[in-house]
Amino acid sequence: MAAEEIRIKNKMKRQQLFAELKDQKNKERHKMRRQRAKEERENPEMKEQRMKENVPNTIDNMRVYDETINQDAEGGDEDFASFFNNGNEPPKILLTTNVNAKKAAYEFANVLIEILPNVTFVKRKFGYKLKEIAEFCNNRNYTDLVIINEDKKKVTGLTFIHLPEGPTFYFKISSYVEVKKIVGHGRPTSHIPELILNNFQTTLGKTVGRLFQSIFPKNPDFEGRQVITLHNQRDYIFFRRHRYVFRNEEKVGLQELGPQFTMKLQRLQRGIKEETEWEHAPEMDKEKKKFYL
Amino acid sequence: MRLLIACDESGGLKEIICNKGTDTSDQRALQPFHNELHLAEGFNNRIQKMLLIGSSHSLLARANGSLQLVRFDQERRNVDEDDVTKQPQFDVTNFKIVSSVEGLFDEQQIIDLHKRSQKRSKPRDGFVSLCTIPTKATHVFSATKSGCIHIIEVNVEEDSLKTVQSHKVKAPLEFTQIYDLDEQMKNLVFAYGGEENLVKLADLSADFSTLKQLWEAKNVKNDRLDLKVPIWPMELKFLKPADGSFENKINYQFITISRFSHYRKYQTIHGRKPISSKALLKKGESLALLKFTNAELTPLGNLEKNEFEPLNFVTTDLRKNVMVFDSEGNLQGKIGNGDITGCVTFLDTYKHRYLLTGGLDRYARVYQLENKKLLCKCFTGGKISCLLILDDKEVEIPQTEEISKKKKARKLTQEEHLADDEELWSKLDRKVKRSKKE
Repeated sequence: MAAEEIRIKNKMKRQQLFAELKDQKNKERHKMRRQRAKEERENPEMKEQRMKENVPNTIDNMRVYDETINQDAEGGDEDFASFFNNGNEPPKILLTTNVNAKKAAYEFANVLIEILPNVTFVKRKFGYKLKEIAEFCNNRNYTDLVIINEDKKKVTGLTFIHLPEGPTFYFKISSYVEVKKIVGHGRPTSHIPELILNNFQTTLGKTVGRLFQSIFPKNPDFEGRQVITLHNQRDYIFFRRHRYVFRNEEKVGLQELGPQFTMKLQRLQRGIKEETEWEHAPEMDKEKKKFYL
Repeated sequence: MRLLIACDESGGLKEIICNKGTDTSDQRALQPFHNELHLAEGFNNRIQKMLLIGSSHSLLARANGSLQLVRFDQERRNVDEDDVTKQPQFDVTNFKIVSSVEGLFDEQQIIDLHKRSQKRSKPRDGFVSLCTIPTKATHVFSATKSGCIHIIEVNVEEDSLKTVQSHKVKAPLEFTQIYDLDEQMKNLVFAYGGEENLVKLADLSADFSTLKQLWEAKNVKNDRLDLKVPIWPMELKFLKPADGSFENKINYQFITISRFSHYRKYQTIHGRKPISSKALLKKGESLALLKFTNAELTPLGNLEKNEFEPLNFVTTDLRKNVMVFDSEGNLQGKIGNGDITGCVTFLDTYKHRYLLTGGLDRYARVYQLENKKLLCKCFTGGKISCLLILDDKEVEIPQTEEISKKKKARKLTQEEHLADDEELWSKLDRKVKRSKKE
């Protein structure tokens, strides 16, 4: 009997009856599940079949068709190499903030110094144009320039400029959780981490993935057992850092090292902030099942 | 429709054959029949400009400073014999490089200029224009960012290229535009300009040996804070000279757009400053490309009219917009708004029928010029720097029996519909008559 079918005028009675009905239904469901689990324990094929047949529709698997998914890059990886490091030179990163940055930006910079390899932090001064900063970096063989964008005492964005010829990425930053707030967090070591890039599928997504590939050296220290995960889901890129341990041949232990934050690509520009290659527009959010990365 | 597309990443030429209604972003829509890459030489040797010469040759200007003469011929696509009746029949093109000229750039000049430039990225020389000379169809005019003007002789019969003459003009260049509105003119007049390089008109003698500057524009007066207005013309298009006899006066008319969104009209008889200057966009966003959409156009895109009105042009910015403006600089509309996601780096019109766009979002689009309706949208896999239509013939699709049956059924229903409509009308008529009687 559904809630609207109970035609008792006394509200308390009606509620009581409804609660009883609901409780009964729950019990039935639990019983059914217990029984099913028991049957499936005895016969694992049944579970397999059920899982195969019962695939729920998610926004992710109903995404709008995009022909750039899983297409090989035109001209192969060689041409990408002119945009990104080809692996021969280790990355060398200059980290700075926006002009007149506040405490939050410097705190975030401290966090990034621990995460990014071979990084130098330089305090941003007045009077230097981006072109001059880029020239300064080029003369000193920096491969990337990272700028923390802070607004109203909050870190709002991250700009990655690949040197000397671009491209430029601007990400929005949200959901920042500092290391201290993560329960049971570990302390990171200075080993070069391994990198996991998840779910970067389209041409644009692959370009973004390649940015992260170029920022971290390609020779991780496996004895450090540290992993950085960049997981893309619905165009939000989740940053997580863990340490793993193989407890035995089957079990793996994970310890989060932190911090956590989420990035969203807002803009991709050719060169050093020149022609826009892709830009997020508010009307793109109208269509819930269209993703760009 | 046979499209020839220059893709950046592969540094090659793509031939796409498609019909109207093709859309690769929609699985249910028509898909291209053919998509093949030719002459790929890598990103550093990517094609920057293309030019068709006759019906079987084209010139490719590559980013390494070379010009290549390419001969192409068409042959029937190989189809399995069983499928002949089921598959569409069309020709595919074969390309072969038959001649090339190298070393047309001056990189050092660009590096020197970069110190004063507002551009941030590492400078590279590149081609800004490649077109046939209207007075001598066997010769080609090419210009580079570093101000090198080359006249190149193209011998189609012998398949050869030869640099006839080279000149140097003040760099950096963003554009050059040849004046092709006077058929009697023997000399070659062209305009050029660029960053901190005011629009200039130059005259090249008929034998291409001497180049002299005809006219130079003057910057507009300082703004209300008495600051110099920055100079950076991006494109220029000529109109016919003004009516009347102006003896001993240079008589040219043209419009320009600038990097700071200025739209300017010039009349050289009027003076060196523009007769009007207007900001097309409110925040002074950069404009990049300019094309007239009027019907009376010359092969090089100039307008065969001597009045500024009525005039329509399409322009692009460095973000993603393709905008249509009228002669007063009022926005008439945007093309591909919401569909185009990257900067449009190529814009052209074809026989006053189609508008072609291609850019950093890797899609080649063809619009109907009249109503700005999207006809074709093809994903190319690489950023597009140049696009040509070789022909606009439609490929015949062989119809299977099922489709023809369905069509017949549809026709019947239409007839039924008409019959239904007639019945309805007759019923209504009867009712009206009755009500009148009452």
